Amino acid sequence: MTGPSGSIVLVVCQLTRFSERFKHPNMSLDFVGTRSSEGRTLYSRVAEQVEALALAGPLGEETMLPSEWELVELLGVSRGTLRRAIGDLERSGLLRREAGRGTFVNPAARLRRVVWGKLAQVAKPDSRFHFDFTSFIPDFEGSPKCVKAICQTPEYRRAVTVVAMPDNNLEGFRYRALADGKTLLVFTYGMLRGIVALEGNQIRAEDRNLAATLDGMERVGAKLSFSQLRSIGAIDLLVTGAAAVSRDGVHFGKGHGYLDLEWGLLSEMGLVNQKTPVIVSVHECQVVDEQVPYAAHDVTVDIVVTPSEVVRCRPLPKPAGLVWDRMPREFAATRPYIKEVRKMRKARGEVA
Amino acid sequence: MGQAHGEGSKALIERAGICEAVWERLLPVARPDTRFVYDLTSFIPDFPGSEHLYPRLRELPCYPGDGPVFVTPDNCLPDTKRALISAGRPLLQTIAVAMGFHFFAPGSVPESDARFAGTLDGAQLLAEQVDLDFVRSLGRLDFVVTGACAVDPRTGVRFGKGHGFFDLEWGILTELGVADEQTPVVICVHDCQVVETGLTPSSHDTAGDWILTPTRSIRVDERHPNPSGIRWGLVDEARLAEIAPLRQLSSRRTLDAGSAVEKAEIPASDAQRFVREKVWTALRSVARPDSRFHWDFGSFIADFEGSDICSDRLRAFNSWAGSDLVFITPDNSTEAVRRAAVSDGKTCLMTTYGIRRGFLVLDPGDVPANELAYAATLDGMDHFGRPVDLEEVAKLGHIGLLVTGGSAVNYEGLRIGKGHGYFDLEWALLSEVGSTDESTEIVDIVHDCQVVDFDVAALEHDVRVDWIVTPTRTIQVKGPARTPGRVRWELIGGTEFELIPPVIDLAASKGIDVTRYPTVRESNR
Repeated sequence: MTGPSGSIVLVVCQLTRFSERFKHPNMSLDFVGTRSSEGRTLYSRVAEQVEALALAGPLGEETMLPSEWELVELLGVSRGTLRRAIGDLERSGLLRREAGRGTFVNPAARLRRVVWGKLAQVAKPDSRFHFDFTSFIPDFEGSPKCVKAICQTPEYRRAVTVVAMPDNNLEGFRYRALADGKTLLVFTYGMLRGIVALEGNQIRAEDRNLAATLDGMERVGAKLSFSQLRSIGAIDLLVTGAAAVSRDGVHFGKGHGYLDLEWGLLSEMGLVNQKTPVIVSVHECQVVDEQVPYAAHDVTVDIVVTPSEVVRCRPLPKPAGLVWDRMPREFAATRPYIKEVRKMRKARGEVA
Repeated sequence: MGQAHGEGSKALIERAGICEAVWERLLPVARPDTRFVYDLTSFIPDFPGSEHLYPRLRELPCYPGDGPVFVTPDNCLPDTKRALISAGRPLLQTIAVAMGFHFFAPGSVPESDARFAGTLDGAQLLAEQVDLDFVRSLGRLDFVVTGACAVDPRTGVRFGKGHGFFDLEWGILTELGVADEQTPVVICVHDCQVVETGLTPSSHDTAGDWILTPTRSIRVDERHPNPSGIRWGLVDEARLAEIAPLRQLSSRRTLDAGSAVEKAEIPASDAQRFVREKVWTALRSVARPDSRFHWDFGSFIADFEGSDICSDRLRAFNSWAGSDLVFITPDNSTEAVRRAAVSDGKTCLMTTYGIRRGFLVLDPGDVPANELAYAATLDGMDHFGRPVDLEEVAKLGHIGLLVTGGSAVNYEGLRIGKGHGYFDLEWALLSEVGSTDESTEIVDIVHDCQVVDFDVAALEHDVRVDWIVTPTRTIQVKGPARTPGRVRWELIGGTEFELIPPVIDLAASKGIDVTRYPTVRESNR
């Protein structure tokens, strides 16, 4: 966002109604802030205006916010208030300050927020998280069509062992995979209790719906220990949801990096490799046409499935293992398998 | 309704305002931080004249002696730390409380390194990292030195940068028994940070006995009493994961649950928290984790071993047999009850989690027999249930039985939920539309470990239960008659409760403008 202040004022005027566009009949949009400005602190209102400015930039690019003094003038607030507002947005991951250079908009965070605004129109709420898309990947209108499309791919038909993410839009897929007799491995939410194995051939038809939900899967299936997981052999297919995905196959999750972590673990254990196909199931509004940057630690997808389209991406490299310094430090203590993988690496003489 | 919504929130805003005002004044004189530059929300800055703080400290009556002292990692204090090290004072400090404590023993730093040792980078390199047992073994601290964003000379109450790190450090030091109400606290600030706020301090504010500025030494005559111990109710898993010493204290505390804390006098809300945490510790061994919230009992009411037996006991109740319509809260512990209700052909009225999407009706005719288990889960409820607005709820007719879970309940039928006040609101909504009356029975489904003999003063909006059902016992509660609930609008304005659809419906039908009750509350996001 550069340019003469006049155009910035225009953008702000247009964007003060930004939140209105994303209104959903029965949702409270904490994250886009449709709350009345009444009774809110000044700096949180300023944060909303700055956020609107930040979201207005081009999707895939890192852009710079106007300078601090420009913003102070533009928004008519003190420097302290502005800094506090920017500080909040920085902590939320949208902005990044660089001393002496300026304030930058994180392109991935912008992309997520813009897509979430559209997704709110078609998404289904979670049984706990309501519409808080930073906490879950929602199911959406038309997801059964995605299931159908996934099941028609040769990758799915060939697969014996399938990993599915605990995303709400994959509930129908998990049901289908069980009905088709696949061995289904599902990560528990937040990886907190490891992986649950569901044997399609052994689960009774009346338990399939239960097994396909997050609430039910741990009652029907068994949690795998590290050694049980290792002996599972090769994984033939990984299916995931997303917050957003580019046509090139660059995947954006809720923003916590779980998919990278989960893929990293499986690949450290030799269960997945460059050739393991990854399918992402999303709504049309989650597919972005823009070129978006991706890093070596990002898991890329091979097939993008929407209710109306199947896009095969030109294969991009996938990470070959865990990127240890990207993993929150407490994960080794709070998440299963990680300690064992670390030991395994040490035993091989690799530094972890 | 959570009690936290009242006074505390308004104070929070006022405090934020005070800090902002001080930052404005401080910015022109503040020295930037090597990491955060001028972002005063992230650090407490150094300022010209901070070298005059130590000479003033040395003149204080609490200074003489050779006992250990504690100094916080604020930017205005390196000179003070250097001088303390040079003076041979045992110096305990944090670099960041998440990393635990660091210690300089007397004489451990050559004079040539003292300047460097006074900085945070120096401390990280030169000081010894010490554990809590070591800190405890130091014995009583002679005094504690900290910076602040602002300080009130009337009460000595300090305002931090808003993260509560000093409160946490103070809490840890008092839990370890090296600091207490008698320990002098010295607050070092720039003159512009001394502000008479007129704010009423709360029980958990930390306050100083002395305020030092480059030009003045101010004795606080009527210092606000300093708190004792950690407020465990505010410590969540994320905080535990982040702050190492907190983790160590917490695990030790689980071993000898409560001995230290119980003796202290605890205000009502803290007492509730204390009971809740004690029960949660016991519950952990019999409970089942939630599919999303794992073991975060502050976010859900857990299912437990034997909840199906509770449901069987409930089936023997007259009110069960006599009700075609049952209200059941969306707790994990009431899943078996939902299963039983559907299979006995009863219509279940439920709320969605957090009442965020209002009420749902689960009609037994809509649930195929083989999907019973699925339909009873929160995920399944959404699938088979039909959303109903408040008007439709009223049309369903009289509700003879309400079933809920909870964190803890006492023998007088007073329950503690997960701390949000959802059940009180549900009861209030149902009362307001006339679905319930004095004949309605309320049953609390809990594990035996959740029935606790605690004493809390019943508040007006606390809903007593009539029966407590555990896997081994059915307890009838004898208490004063329950009054119909009413929605407490004054607690709703400005909170997430004002976004709850049935609350909106009710306000509209009564012509109530919730914003008339602007209980301003800061969003946690």
